[in-house]
Amino acid sequence: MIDEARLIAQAARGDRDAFEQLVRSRQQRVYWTAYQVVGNEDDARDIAQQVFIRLWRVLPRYRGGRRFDAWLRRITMNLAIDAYRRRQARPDAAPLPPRPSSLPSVAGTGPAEGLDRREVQAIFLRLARRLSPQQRAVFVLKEMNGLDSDEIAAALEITPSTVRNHLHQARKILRRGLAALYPEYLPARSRGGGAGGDA
Amino acid sequence: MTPCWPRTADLLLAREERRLGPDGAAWLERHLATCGPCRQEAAQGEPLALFAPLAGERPLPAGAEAFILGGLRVAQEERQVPARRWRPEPLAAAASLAAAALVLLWAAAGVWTGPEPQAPAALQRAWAEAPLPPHVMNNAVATVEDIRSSTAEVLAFSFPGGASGNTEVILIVDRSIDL
Repeated sequence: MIDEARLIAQAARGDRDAFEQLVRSRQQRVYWTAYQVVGNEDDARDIAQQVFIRLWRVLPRYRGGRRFDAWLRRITMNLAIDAYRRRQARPDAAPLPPRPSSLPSVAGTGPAEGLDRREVQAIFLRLARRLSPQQRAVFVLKEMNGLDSDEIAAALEITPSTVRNHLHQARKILRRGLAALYPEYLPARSRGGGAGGDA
Repeated sequence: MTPCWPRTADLLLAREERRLGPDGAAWLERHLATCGPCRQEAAQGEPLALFAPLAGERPLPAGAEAFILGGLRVAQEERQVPARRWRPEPLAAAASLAAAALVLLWAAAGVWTGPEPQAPAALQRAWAEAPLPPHVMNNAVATVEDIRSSTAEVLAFSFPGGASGNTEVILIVDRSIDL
């Protein structure tokens, strides 16, 4: 298997095969990250395509010292947050998210026991509409991509303390939404707090 | 929210990310045991296990890969080959300098000082025979004078000859586009 730094260097010199290998190795992460931020498959697909087109255009300027994935993540989040903001500005264009048809059905565990991944996804998309773009982006990078607060701060170009605040607010808002709409999926000790209303 | 919350929140996140030292952990335990508002905030901000199944990568939906790669290939076709950085070729640069020096010497020596450019003989003759002053003409003059401005001028000439007896030439000189 070809060394990744070499692959990136080849792609930066315009080698299309090398670049396509990079795309194939990153497209799932880019797509699903965008999907969790924007909340629908069409926009996520557009964003993923734009991310790689932009990457192809700017890759010749890439300096090997910087972390490639952090760079890619920043491009992804910038495009996804912009798309989400545009969606929010047009509420009529953002109906309640349908159940994504493409998610593999995988039984969950813990509070989600009995729910398959599709249902968990639908609950998240419904409740995440209450979050600001930054709160949602932080939550997605933390809980779904497993990044730490420093990595999130770098991806979103904000301070770690802002990451902490957004994450805390996002969890509070989602927890309140769960309490209001899906109390059965909250841990027993979290139930009974906060009101919510429909998303 | 209490004044102690920002520090508590920092330490809670550090603990969650497994980068909290023993001193911080001890302080956090003690503080949460005694500060009700921070304890309540901490409970509200705990990770939500419900969404854990959404973590990680999954296969792309049908058609997404083809869409991504298709758009990418179109963009790649449009990508311009980066222009080569210009570097002077020593031989070409020397030749250019020599040519420029030769032209300067030639001009200084007056080699290029030839006779004034002359209009063709027929035009010079017609010009000499044109009735003066030139602005007095038939009805056409009044029409073209209407468009005279601070930057434009109309010169009208009438030459004997031609099918109708006279050949009329009207020149409109617009200095606003003077190069």
